[in-house]
Amino acid sequence: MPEVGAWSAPLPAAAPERAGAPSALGVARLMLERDLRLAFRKASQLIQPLAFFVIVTTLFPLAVTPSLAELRRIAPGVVWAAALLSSLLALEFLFRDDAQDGTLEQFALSGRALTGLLVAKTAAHWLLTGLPLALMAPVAGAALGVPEAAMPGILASVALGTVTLSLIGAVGAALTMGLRRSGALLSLLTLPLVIPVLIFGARATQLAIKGESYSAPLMLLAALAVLATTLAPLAATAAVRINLE
Amino acid sequence: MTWTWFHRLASPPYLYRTAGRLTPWFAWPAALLIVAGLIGGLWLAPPDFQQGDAYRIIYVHAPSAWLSLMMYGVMGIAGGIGLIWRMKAAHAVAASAAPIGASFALVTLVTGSLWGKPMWGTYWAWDPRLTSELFLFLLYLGYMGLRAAFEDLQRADRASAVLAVVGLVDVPIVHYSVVWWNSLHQGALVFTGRRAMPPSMLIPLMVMFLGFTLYSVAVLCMRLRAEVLNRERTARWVREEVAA
Amino acid sequence: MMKFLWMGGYYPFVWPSYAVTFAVIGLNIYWAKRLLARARRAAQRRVEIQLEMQEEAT
Repeated sequence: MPEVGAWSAPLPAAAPERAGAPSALGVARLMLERDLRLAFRKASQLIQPLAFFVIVTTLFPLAVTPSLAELRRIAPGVVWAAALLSSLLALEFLFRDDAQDGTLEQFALSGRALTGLLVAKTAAHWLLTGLPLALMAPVAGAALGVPEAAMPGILASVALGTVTLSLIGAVGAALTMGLRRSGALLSLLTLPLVIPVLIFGARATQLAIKGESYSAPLMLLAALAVLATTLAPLAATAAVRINLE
Repeated sequence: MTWTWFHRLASPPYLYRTAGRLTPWFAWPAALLIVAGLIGGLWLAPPDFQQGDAYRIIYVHAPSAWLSLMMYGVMGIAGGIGLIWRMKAAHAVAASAAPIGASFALVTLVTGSLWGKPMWGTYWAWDPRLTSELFLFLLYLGYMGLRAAFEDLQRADRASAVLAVVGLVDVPIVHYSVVWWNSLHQGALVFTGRRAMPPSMLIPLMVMFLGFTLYSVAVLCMRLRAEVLNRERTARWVREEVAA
Repeated sequence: MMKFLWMGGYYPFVWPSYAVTFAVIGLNIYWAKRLLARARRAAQRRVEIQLEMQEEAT
């Protein structure tokens, strides 16, 4: 019976050498493109974290003082706290839609490495929130009396710090993706874990404002980003699989 | 060394009975040690030449801090074991450890600020150790919140285990970043508590450490039994156990 | 004795610390005991219900 042998043949999805099938990297790129395209179709979701960031930074001059000299002192804290919260805001939906309509399950069953797909989704999240926030941070900084010379430092530290935020946030989002109202819980899970990012990022910003060398805290931010890049996707994959079971 | 004892612990009835049998063996020595530590710490140890009698808070503060860390370690390692070997008993251990650790993290914060008032002149100073203890407490809250958010027990077990393992990697990073942050802003530490202690002060502290540790194992065993019983409610051994 | 309770003037900090710690130590034991008692009672109730159902069936 030749048919019996067919059962033990490898599934087609597990054989990427098949003609026309994209490589693992290609799949990740397709995923990234898809997420970006979806995001650009819903422009409001794209703008919300940025608008939130602007509103939070506006609160401080109104609540504390309009004096630029004094605002300059608290600017690192304001920028970083606002960036942290804005980055969190978009996280809740990172896996939610794909989990609800079954897309994520199809990806998990596709035989492709789920980790690669999740990394692509996380990269999309960073491109859609982290990068715009990094570009916005100098603008917010200018409104807080930060000198122009400090702008590259602020941009670099926010850009680097949000990489770690997106990666660790992805773990939190993956853990809570099946829960209905997860916003507060997601913040409670994620914020204590990303305290080091806040500390090093705010320090780099502070040094940049003072006009001193900020390379040491920037290196530490980079170290955190590397560590998060190696470990967080594994945890996120485990979390997604648990929630799909 | 054989691992049969470990494999046997994966069997719920065996775990339930072993935990029950072990509880008094930890509880009574713990009670004795804590009483001895109290007498040693409050009576016999001399007052500190700088802090007077206020330093005596260390006999409850430091062991509580140790318990909060130890329970986090237990939670993370048990969670990891549960994830890797799919051992249900390990998840029960992690679930039992979290509330104990959280309660002692809170004790550490309260006693720390009570100690801070006479020493720093304020209930809360942004001391690196107190600050990281606060984050530890928040991590416990997140862990318990996540566990409670799931209706399905298996999912709750495994998802919270992932969080516990991530936290286990992150706790030292948070701690050292907080220390680094503090060293920038305060210069010399106001109070380190790392001076060499004379034996009359140190011995009661060690006795307290040991007493608290044994106590926590005893409470863990009790909680674990309840947890195992609840998880195995439909099993036959539970019926026999309760009927007996 | 008064001197002991006075704690060199630090009594408002030392005694509350000990009180809080031992309250939590006690509460942890109490909670664990209550949890175990509840679990046992729930399991017992289960057995009773099963027995009742068996009797009804016969």
